[in-house]
Amino acid sequence: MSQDEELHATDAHRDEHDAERDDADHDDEHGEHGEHDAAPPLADLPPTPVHGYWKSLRELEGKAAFQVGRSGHEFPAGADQPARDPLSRRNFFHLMGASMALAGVGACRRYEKEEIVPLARRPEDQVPGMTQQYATAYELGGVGHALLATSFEGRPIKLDGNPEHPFASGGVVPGTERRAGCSAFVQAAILHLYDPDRAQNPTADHGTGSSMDAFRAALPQLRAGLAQTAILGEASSSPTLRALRTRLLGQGVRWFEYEPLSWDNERAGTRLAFDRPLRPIARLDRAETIVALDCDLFLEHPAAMKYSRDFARSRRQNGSLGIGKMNRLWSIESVFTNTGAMADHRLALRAELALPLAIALDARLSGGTAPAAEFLRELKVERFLRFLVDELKANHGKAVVIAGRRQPPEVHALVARINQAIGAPGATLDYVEDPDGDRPSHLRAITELTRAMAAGQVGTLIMLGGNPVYDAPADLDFAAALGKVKTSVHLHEYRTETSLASSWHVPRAHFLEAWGDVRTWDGTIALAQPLIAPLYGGLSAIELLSLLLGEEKGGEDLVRGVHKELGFEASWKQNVHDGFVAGTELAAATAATPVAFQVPPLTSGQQAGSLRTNGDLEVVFVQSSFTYDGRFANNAWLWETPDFMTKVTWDNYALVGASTALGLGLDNDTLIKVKIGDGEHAREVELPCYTIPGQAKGSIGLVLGGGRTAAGRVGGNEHRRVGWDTYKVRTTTGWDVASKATVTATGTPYTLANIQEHWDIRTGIGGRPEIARDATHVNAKGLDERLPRLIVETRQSELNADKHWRAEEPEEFFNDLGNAGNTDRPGEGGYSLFKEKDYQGHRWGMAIDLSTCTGCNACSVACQAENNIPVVGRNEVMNNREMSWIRIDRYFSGSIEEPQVVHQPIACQHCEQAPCEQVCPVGATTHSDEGLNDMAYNRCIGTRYCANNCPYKVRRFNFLDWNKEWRDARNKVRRLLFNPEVTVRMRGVMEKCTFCVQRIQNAKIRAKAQIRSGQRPGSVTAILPDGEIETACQQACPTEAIVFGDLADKDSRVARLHEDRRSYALLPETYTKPRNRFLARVRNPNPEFAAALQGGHE
Amino acid sequence: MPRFIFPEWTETLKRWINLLVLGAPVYLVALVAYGVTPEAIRIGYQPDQPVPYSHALHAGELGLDCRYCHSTVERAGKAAVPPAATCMNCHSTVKKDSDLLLPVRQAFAEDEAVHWTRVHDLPDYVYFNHSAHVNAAVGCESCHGRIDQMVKVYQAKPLTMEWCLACHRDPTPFLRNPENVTKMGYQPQPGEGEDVRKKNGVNPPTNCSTCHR
Repeated sequence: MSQDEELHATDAHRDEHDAERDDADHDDEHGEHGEHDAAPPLADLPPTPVHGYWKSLRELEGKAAFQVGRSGHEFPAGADQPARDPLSRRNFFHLMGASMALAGVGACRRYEKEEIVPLARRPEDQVPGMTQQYATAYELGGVGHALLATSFEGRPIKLDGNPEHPFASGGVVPGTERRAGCSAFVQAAILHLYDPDRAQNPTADHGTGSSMDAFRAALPQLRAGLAQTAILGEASSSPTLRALRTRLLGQGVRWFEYEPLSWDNERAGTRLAFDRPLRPIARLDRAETIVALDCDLFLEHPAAMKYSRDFARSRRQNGSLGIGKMNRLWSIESVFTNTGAMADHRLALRAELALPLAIALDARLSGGTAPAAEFLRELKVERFLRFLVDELKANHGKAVVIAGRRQPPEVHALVARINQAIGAPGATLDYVEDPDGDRPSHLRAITELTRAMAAGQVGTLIMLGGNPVYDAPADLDFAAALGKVKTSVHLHEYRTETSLASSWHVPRAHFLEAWGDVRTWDGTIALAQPLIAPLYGGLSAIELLSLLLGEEKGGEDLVRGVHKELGFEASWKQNVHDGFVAGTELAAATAATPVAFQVPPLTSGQQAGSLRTNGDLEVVFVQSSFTYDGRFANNAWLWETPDFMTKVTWDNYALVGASTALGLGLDNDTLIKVKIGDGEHAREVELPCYTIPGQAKGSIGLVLGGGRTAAGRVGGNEHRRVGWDTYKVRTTTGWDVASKATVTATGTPYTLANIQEHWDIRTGIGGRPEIARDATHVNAKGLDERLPRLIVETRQSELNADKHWRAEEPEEFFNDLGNAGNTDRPGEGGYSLFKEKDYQGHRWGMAIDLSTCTGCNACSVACQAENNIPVVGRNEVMNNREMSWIRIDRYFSGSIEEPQVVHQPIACQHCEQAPCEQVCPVGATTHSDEGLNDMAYNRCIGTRYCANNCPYKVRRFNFLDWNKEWRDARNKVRRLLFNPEVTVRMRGVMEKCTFCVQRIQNAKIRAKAQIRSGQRPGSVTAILPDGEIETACQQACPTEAIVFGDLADKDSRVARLHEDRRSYALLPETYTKPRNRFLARVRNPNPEFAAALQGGHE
Repeated sequence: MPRFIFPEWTETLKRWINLLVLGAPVYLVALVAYGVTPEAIRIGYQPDQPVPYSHALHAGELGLDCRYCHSTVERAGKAAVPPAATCMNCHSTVKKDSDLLLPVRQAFAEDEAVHWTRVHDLPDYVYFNHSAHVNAAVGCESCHGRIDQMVKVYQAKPLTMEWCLACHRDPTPFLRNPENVTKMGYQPQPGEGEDVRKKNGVNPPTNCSTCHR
């Protein structure tokens, strides 16, 4: 039965749900048949695995939309047409006539006159043209991140993790290298610094232009009213801010903190369990069984970077990089997260069911009674829980359970008890004292504040960052309450929705423009030093507070003063240099034994089975991979980076599971209405539907952070919005998870700018015309032929059992020694029509480990920052014109309901026998002596033959002048961000990954110069030390999945990884001999569970 | 009406007019083609500078080493035009009242920059690194000419890709003992280039990415 038929069969099946169920539907034995006669429960999809790997449901269904013409090939029909105003033939000649007439005139002059402008006094250690690195820090949602900023002649151009910082680097294992990855948000944060849309002047009286002097003049009035003042801050861990807060509290100020996304539930949970809030920090490097309960460990968790690194280090199989036995990750979640994608076992479950599940888990482990919940008796859940409990018992002291942000405090308390039962504390889990134990939860704070404002009890409201008018709970109606406040001051980088509703808006300094301090999740204080003076004279939060207190202290004085009080004066310079204060991590909590606590009775939804009826659906609110909670809305890099799982850009959407969508008749690329609650309290939002395999049945994910009305030219303004405002259905009662949701299809088509089928390397296969020419869709034969080679997966048990297992068979076609014909190198097997090259010196290569790639996008954004890659916007993304050099292919496998995911980052493979080079008519892409596939932009004439001939589809063409707008005077500031070491490309040239050739060249030149001038021992022909050159993607990767180095150095990590038995090349049959090799994905399922699953499906 | 008859001398013209019609475009094309070559446009480019700094005086007559002012040339890509502070090292005592030095004194006093005009200007897609060349023992003179004789600096060499590549393909004639890198008018001994090349391991690459990124 083909997939098509299968889907239709299920469709029919739903229509006659009373009829006998198919045998394959055994999961539904305990479904809710007959309970709701009026609204039948939504159908289930059969768990039959779909053959091979697939990228989207659309592809599986073989719909007409998934066509080569639209997306399969790199140049869809019309992709070479200009964007909006297509050039007619007439216009073309018109323009050409002019250019012909002027041809040559342009050449008759020198380049633009350039000036050399040396400083009058050059600071010590500053060398023109050389970058310098400074440690700094920033804060997101109250969690600090230690950073290393690269500055070029006084302007910061790149951000990375600070490898010296004890928590950021994850250097927990003695002897392992200290390296720090970072998130995509960190990589993109620098774009805000140079954003021309940042507020440049204060505004007074709801958006009317004003000046800093006017604001300063109003300060005495603000100071006089401190007793009637409330301050609403973003969550902050800054010791300096806390010190100022204490002083302000003494003057009668009331203080509130609000974050739309926070880990408050964890605090509340540990307060339940231990009578005081504690912060659990898992030691994933020591854990052998890791259970994520509705928790995204690798992206959303405040310690995500550390967790990623620790997880990957203990996951890795290669002895040179790994540190012991392979761990196993179990994930129970509603929305498909990257943690679910990394998991060895994943259970898709509505978020509200995590509570009964936690009760059941607790009961099984400590001998209590399991709750009477329908879904727990379902075979899938029952079996999952059984094997999980067995493993947790067997792995006492080597296992840890982590619950997520969305889960109520009771779940966190139960998890604390479970962790106690499995011996986690002290072994795989540390509890530390919460640094701010008395703080009420953010939700409570904003509720209390809004009520006080509405009641007229707040005379002055000062908002330090945040955007409550946009993101406060909808039922509080913050905007209306704000109208009742006489004076309101909003400090923010941008003129946001809240700024326009406030009486004052003061521009805030970017974190690279101001002094500050933050605490990372473990409590270590990180110091933020400015790298540039405020471009628009903004104030930092601490500077504004200092002004309120009637003093005129600069940021440095404030931070230094507080650090002096804390006793860090002696090491101040060292701390600023290092970017952190050593030894300031939070104290470990002593005697953390859980006490008895009350677990609330289960709701009807929590007692029910996994199938739901419309009207009883659950809605979970999901952090945006583009804008976090909406704050990064004016960041074009983030908007254009495809979401980890959905591969959508420039939008937010409702995530709907495949069976839910089928049952409700929802279609991808149409608008749907999501209504929460009923009667007069019902709230409704209309947004596009994204059908994602593997989402829990009956659970709808609403992605936050879209639909801004005052973000800027990129993120939306009153005329044009990006995405949809999902905050308007987020209320205090349904804050993280809302129930009683109804979804209706509107049928209005709306195309999401989805890149998941762009750059498909499974089509267009040379020598197999029957596959390449099939214009309707990727056919089964093509997938059969192709896919096992793109992704190689294996299991830990298989690796252990079969010592000769190799990802790439030695008798591959191109390695076949019997394949006579290699005249260049007789006896080596394989042959090419083109001359083989001999490599003498460096041989650069890369290895990417699919076992540890979480698909987090940090590499992709890092590449964008390093290599001056432009963004193209939503419309052009839909035209396949996105420019990102690294694309992360996401493949599903297995059944639609329970798919598995593999992420595969693909950039230029730097083939030794590169097909692109053979077809370039002007020699613009050639091979270097070190094996790099060079691209000379100034030679490229834009024939695009190379991209056409590239089997990996990694070449990107500048169809339009993407950098045009940066030449506008008002956007000039944005140009400061460009990396001066990389050419900014013009229209009409091809580009692609260069292996960061600028870093290679500069490192080589520096090393040789030092050797020749005697500053460094060695010889100029010797290999460089491994790790001296890091590509931008490698530097950013939180899991060290990307390794770059010199293959000529047999001891380099990359050379050893290339020899690893897990290593394989893509498309070996094309005999391109890529310098980039992938390491097979290793899964580590529980052997007994895997056997049971195998039996269940067959 | 009598017919107009061309006078006889036009017969001679007719013979020449063919040549003119055929020859003029060839001449024009050749003229323009030469006119746009880097040799014609760039060599000799000698822009005015805010301060009439004479290399002939400082580097030639006084014999200052290049690296006294261009101090980063051995460790950075840019040789770096010196800050006003470097000028003031001497000119706070020497010629301290000269009108010609006014912009330098002003810059130093007000912490403002002197705006020099770039003479040796490569296209933006070319990444030239001074330290790579100086440490490989290529003389300053090889690219900049006899700076010590220039009262006002001009471009002496074409700085074209072909010109760069000629040296990258065979650097021996341009290598000299490292201590003589900044010497002007230096004539390497026979065999000196080969020795230095062997000793220093000079093997310049000719890949695209050597200069273009």
